[in-house]
Parts: sequence; structure tokens; C-alpha cells
Amino acid sequence: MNCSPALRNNLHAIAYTIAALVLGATVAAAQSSTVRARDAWVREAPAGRAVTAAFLILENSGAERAVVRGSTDAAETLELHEMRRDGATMSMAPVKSISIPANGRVELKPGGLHLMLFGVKKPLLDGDSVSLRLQLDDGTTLTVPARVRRPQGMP
Amino acid sequence: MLAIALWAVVARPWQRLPVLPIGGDFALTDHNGAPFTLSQLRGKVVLVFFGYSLCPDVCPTTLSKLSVVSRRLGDDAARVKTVYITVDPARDTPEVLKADLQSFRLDAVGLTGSRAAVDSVVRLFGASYQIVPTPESAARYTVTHSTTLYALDARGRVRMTFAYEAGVDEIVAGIRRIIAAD
Repeated sequence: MNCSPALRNNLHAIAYTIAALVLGATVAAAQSSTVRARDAWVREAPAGRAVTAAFLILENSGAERAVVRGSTDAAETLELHEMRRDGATMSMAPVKSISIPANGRVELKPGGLHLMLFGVKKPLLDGDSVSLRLQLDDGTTLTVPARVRRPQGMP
Repeated sequence: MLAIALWAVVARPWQRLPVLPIGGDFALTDHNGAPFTLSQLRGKVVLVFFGYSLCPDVCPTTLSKLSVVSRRLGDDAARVKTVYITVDPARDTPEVLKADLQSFRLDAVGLTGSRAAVDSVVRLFGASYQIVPTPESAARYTVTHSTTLYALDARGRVRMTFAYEAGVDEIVAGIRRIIAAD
């Protein structure tokens, strides 16, 4: 390109600025995810029950993301699972990840995707609070407060 | 008006309630560890379903739904008993079933037994289940199972079945028909 040194300097400045903006945005993305959780609840696990499930809504205001794993202090293991209906039969299986569509949401609810808590450390009773940590595919971790509930009505 | 039309469609009061060619007496162990035979419940409408406690979903959902059915039945609720039979007897001891039922305000009995005893009851009702290994999960295995709810009359005969999707209204109407047919 045949241009004046002044213009070349300006182009360099613009390129540096763009690079800095991109880098800045990347760092910001790593620090605060575009995914928010709400309405999180855990099914009651009275004494004698070492397994329970957690449900919540994940909303995403950015590009497609996925939950890749999770943990909680309330149980030894937290896994991502899905119920599947096939005619009159129901099955449950672990899933590798739960994707949250770009600018969309995914609902974890009874009969579908959910979080399984194995090895519940102490009884979880109606009204108790549990903290869930969900790790996303962008490296961020979402800490979600969840309420323990005893579902009595229709889910 | 709409309610009457809905009731007529769902309950089909003009049709005689058939006796279905499934079910029959059986013996298992209840959630208190005591021997149980179905014939103990003669005189009651009995709602039978199969499940397992590791499933945090279908079984509690069914128990929640039947708790609402029970409330809606009012005085008739005393004539109804729910029977929850595990298809995972290796894990579902009487203690586990008892803890399972504790969360629900429902007149229910949880049943377990040897694998062979459970299998024979599954066959009796034409139900089905399959153990699915899940080595990647702390569950180690899950159980795929049928979700039909069986409604038995006061003589222990299966008179109706309900799909998993059946709502409270449909089940309440069905129970009332069985009580009326007795």
C-alpha cells in the first residue's frame, strides 16, 4: 500500500485499538458469563434418601453456551441427567452437557433435563438452602442458590 | 356444562367398566419390613404403579399427583390405597421406600422383595423394566420402566389403567367410577 507515514501510523493505531478491544472483550467474557440462573430448587431428601434432583431455568443473553459439569457442598456428586419418555416407558440417563441456546433459555424440570445429586451428606428439608456450582464451557462458574422444596401439587 | 361434557368423554359412564385380564394376588414386603399380600386390601380401590427411588422424577411426580387426587376425593380418599412397587429391589430396601413416602401426604404402601418376587408381580401386571448400566455415573445403573398406573376394585381386579400423562381429573373420575361399579 502506497500511503503517507502519517496515515500508516494512524492505521497502526487503529489496529492496536481493535486488538485491545478484542482482548478486553475476551477477558471480560471470561470473568462474567452471559448466563443467568433463576428459580432453582432441590427436591426434598429426608433422612434415608441419599439421592435427589435439582431443577432451574438458565437464561442466556449471549452466544450459545453449555453447562459441562457441576458440584455442590450438599452432596458428593452432582451430575447432568435427562429423563426420556418412549411411549409408556421412562428412562433416565446422564448427559455430557446441557446447552443453552444463544439469546435463549433452557428449563431443567421434572420429566426432562435435571441435575442429580448423589451422596447427599445430610437430610435436605423443605425450606433449606443449597448452593449449586455450574461450570460453563467458557470456563466460568455459575454459583446458584437453590431452595429445598417438598412438591405437593402438580409439577 | 363443559365440565359435564369433559366428564362424559373421559369417564364414558354409559360403558360398563370391564375387568382387565391382568393383575392378581401377590406377596411382597412393605416399607415397614412386614409381609404384604394384595388380598389385605380387599374392600379398597387400589392404585398400583412401578418405580424406583433413585429416579427423582417420575415416582415423586406420580406420588405428588396421587396426593392431589387423594385431597380431591375428600371422604372417598379413605376407600383408596396407593401401592408403589419398586423395580430396583437391590437398592430399595424397606427403609429407603419409607423415606420416599415420607414426603407425601398419602395413604400409600411401598413394596419390595427378592428380584424374583418383584419380577413375578411385574409379569402379572404386564409391566416392564430394564436395568441400564451407566458406568459414567455415580448411579452405576438406572432402570428404564413402564409408567402405567393400574386401578383395582375392592375385589382386587384391575378395572382401569392410566397413562403417565393422565391428569388429576381423569384419575379422580376413574376412581369414582370404580367405587360406583362395586
